Amino acid sequence: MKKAVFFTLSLTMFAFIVLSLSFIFAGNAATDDARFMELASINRIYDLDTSLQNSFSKIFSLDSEMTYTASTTEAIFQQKIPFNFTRLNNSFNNLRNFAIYNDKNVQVGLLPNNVSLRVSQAGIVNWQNISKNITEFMRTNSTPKSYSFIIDFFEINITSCSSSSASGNFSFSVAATGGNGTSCNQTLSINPLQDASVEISLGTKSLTVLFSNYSASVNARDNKVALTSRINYADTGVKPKIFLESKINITVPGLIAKKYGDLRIA
Amino acid sequence: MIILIDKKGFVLSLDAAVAVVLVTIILMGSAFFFLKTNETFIVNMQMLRVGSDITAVLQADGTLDTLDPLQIKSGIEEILPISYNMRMLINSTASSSIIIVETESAQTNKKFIVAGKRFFYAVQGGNAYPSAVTYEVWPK
Repeated sequence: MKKAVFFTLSLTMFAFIVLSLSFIFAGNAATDDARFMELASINRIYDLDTSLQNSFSKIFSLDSEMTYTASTTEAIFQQKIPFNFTRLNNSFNNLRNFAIYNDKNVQVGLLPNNVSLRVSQAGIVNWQNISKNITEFMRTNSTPKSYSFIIDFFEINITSCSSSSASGNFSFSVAATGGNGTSCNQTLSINPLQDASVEISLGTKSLTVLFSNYSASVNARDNKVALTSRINYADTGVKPKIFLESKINITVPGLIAKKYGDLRIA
Repeated sequence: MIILIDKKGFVLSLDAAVAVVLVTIILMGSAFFFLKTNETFIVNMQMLRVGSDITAVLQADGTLDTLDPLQIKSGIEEILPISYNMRMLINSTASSSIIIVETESAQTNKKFIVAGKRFFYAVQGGNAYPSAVTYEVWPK
């Protein structure tokens, strides 16, 4: 009799275990749909985000009249001053309005009046003061090793060229070419903690390159110039990304899923 | 009845065995649905990734920029796995109507469709047009 009771109890226990397993299986199957919805929503956000970033990157390369590259040790910016903001802003707004109209989940910030590019890993920010024809390079979390500026004045004669600096071991150079073979070449070794400047005169007009505490700026005032800026920095190890300081926000209703993204342009 | 009372152990064991059989059937049923759901989940996710990747490739290589249905269809067919069908609905400021490109003219039966959307900037003859493509993928 005891054997039979033991046998029955064992079978009952086994049945309970099997039943529990079946509940677990059924529960898992029920959550799969929810998981698919979550992953599909994340995929949707990824699609909208990457495609918008690609499109804005294309706009920037087409309409900003700027080129920008960054390697592990150097960032190079080529641009024309004055900056053609109107064309870039119109294209940016066209795509922004189109995206917002076509997908209510997308929010894109306006293009700031002063365009700002960030070289991520190198910690360098290039900021354009468009109304004043100033382009400025600032450091955020690293110290640049050298600055080099190449300026083309489109055949306007350079009349004089001067510099002031405190000597040190930081390389700071300005090479400018004007009309009739005039030029200005200043290669300075400066103290990076002291102010330095290069002043280029073009008759009644002038251009100033200023340096202060690892930041540098080119003030073109009312000149039309082509500027190439090279900034050397310590090896970042990985190729830096360049971001435009404007945001894309994407949300998916019904899910707690939001993405706040920077605009990567290179 | 007397016979059964004499064999209480046997009856109890028989009852328990029937219970085990029933529970095992329930377990197998739920395991079947579990595995089937899992399989569907993977297939659906794969379809979603296929649609997203193909659209991204066509955007990156400039095929979408052409807004030419034949070129886009050819581009899709070149990289779409044979077990899937795909449809693209392109809404561009360069075109007054929606451009539809599909590998199968119509859905012949009710199947699960995955869909997504990507924006792109169609550049044609020096002009650029904001555009959006909605992709749909379903199994053959």
